Amino acid sequence: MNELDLAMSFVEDVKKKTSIDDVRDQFARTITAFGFKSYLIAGVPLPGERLDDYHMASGLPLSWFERYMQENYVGEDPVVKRLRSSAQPFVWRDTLNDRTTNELGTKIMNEAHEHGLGDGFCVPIHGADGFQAGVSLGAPDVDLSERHRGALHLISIYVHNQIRELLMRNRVELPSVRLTPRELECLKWTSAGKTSWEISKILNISQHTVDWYLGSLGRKLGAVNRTQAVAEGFRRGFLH
Amino acid sequence: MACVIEGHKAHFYRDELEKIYRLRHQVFVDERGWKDLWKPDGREIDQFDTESAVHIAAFRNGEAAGCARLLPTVGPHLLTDVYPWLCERGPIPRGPHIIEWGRHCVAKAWRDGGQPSRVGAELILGVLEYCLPRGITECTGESDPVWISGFLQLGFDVDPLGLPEVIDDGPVVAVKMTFSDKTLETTRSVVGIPHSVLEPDREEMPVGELRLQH
Repeated sequence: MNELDLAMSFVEDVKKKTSIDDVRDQFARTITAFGFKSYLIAGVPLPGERLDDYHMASGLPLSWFERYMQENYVGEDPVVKRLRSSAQPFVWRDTLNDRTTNELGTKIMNEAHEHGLGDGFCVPIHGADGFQAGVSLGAPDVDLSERHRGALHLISIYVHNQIRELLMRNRVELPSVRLTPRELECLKWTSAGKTSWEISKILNISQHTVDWYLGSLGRKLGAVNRTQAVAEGFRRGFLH
Repeated sequence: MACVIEGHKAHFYRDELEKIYRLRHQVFVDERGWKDLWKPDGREIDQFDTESAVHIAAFRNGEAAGCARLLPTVGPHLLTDVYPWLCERGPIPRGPHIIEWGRHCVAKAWRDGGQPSRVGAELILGVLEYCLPRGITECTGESDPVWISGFLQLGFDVDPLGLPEVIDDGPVVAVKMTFSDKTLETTRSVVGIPHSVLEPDREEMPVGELRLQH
């Protein structure tokens, strides 16, 4: 198969996978055809945060993965720094010239080399709600044509999305919340764009009471404002 | 709020269209440097801005804050007439239920530094609200691949039609997106806008109310 067929059949097949292990198997097989044997898929931690909570799937040499986590290398990894500011895919070694790359960053890259990851290709992912993630592929060395870069770009976008969806699907059930009929009415009118004053006129109760219901349902839904309460209301099925 | 401007009703919306063409020039020519689109009068208009084009636009304080253009795929449109080679696999998807979604932009002042903006969300919802009642359930487009993840998350089914190619210094991939009422529901929930964003059609309003808009 050429790079076009590899990318198109990956995109088509990965959407049908229902287990993360199946997604990982198919991904590992596909990137092998492009010369890569290692990968890491993860959200991008904010500066100062650890990788643990952002990790989604990995196929790195275990010795390197353990060392990377133990030393908390994510904070100074030049690839992670580039991920925060770049929307376009890049080759690992190009980050060595980045202004933000320091001595420790260079050391991390050298250590990766010792674990068989001489270079790599990294695809930044930007979500609709502002989340950032990256799909990073490692190999002894990297020499990609424009076509291969394009194919790996698409493959990375779709592997990330499928794993994200499966992780969401498998997430533990949300703690159940019960809203009173009045709270539910207030939530519905809020979602229709009505103010507390307008809702008080519609339901023929005082504005103070409306605010009280909104405060109560907000606490139950764990929301800090009305927009978030409405979003939570949709997510938990109170609104349709 | 977003409004729909159908090309054949342009006479109702002269001011708005003027502002849309100027916004497009600012974003695509001045910012992104697509020199081929440069116009001496600063209004980015091309051969596809005809009576068949439909503009979805969001206005803030009387200025165009964002816009998008929908073209019927049964008529002339970019993928078939300008970038056919981007569709490497099979025939270019065309039909009465497929539109081409392009010239999508948000004015610099209304972008939200990496975060998807409220204006951008209104445009996407506006496109869905315009298309779904008309039986339009698919669209094609040429886009930077970086947008695919976001649209997947909003509940669109996105299929690439070929590999990304570098055009004007940036990667562009042709895609087909399929959407439904479920997509509208998912998008509303992700962006936190639970209600309709479309303004009523101006032609259907009493003439006396026209001046009150914007």
